[in-house]
Amino acid sequence: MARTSNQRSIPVWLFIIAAALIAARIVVTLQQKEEAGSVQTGERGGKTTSLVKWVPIEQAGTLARTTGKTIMYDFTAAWCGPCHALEDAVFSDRRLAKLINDRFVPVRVVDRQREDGQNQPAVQSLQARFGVRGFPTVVWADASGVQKTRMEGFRGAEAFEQTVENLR
Amino acid sequence: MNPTVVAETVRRHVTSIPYLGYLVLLAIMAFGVSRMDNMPGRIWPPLIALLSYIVGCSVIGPEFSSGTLQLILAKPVNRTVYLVSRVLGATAVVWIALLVPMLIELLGRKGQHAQIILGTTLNYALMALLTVSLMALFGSFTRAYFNIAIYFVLSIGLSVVQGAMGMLQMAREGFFAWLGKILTDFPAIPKAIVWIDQNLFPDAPPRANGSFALMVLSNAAVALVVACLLFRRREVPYGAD
Repeated sequence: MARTSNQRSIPVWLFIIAAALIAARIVVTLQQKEEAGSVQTGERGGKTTSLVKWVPIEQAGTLARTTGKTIMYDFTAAWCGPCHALEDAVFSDRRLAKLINDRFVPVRVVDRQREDGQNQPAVQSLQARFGVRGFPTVVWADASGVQKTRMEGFRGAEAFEQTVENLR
Repeated sequence: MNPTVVAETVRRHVTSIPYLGYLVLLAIMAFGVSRMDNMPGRIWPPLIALLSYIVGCSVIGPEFSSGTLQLILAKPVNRTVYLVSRVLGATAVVWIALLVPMLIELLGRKGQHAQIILGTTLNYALMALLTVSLMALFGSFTRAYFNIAIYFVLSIGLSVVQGAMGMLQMAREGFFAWLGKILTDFPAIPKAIVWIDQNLFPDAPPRANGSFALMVLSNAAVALVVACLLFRRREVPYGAD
């Protein structure tokens, strides 16, 4: 009998580990909810190395009109690998980031369909307007929302720079 | 944890020819990917997920059918320790495989995109633990390979339900529109489905992410606790199958 009860003992230590992990997760989730405001418009969440000064979606049009700059929409998602490669090669590159900040109104449009089951109306509307079918998609448009050019997928920093140069 | 069970689980897989062949395949894939500038940490991760399914589904369920479990539990082995050791052993098998493409791609790219490659590796390592834990959970109350069947039915089922909910919300008239309206009026329903899907079958982000790691680890721990509780009560008679 003793052997049987020992064989079937309750996994107390496993309960403790699970409880500690759940508690840590709740704390982190609550902290993230406080910072949730910037998730849809500026940052993808998680660590970012971008040197580009992202502008919230709602301010982009006004800013583009007052400065006369072209809006650069970066359609991205947290789970998208090539989007992170684009960030590494382009948005984290000092020279390219300066070029983007100087010449465009950069707007990051983060898709949260997979995570939340739906996107914010502003994100949904931009995706529909520019017919975004995959990530990353970078669209350059004027203040009234007319597309000038676009780049789908990540094809390296040189291809990105070439696209920007062709916009001149 | 029982080191003997962990070591034996690892040894059984690592010394098998198919496993070594799989490592070669991973190495070739990683080498090929390292030649492509725009695809860091891509192509090979799904093969790691596939390996998690293959290795994970051998935990508990099939042992019940083959009679291995009856033989092992005839000895004074704590069931929780055995189950957790099997899960850790199976996960270690995936982690060993994970080192191959990671190192090859890091070397092939000479450290470029290291954050993405290391982040992908870490996240797939965590995902392997969750997958194997879920397989152990489903195997703790079923036999043979029903664990992997349940896993895929759940995974595909949740995707189908989410797709159907999206279509219902777009319906304009009739019964489907009525159902769609219910979903719109009660957004907690689609949110709950997405939450369950994201917790059981998460998409690994390509960078190290603390909240993702916590989510996967806590879910794996809960799956293991439930698996241990179910396995603790399970009767394992001789000649069960």
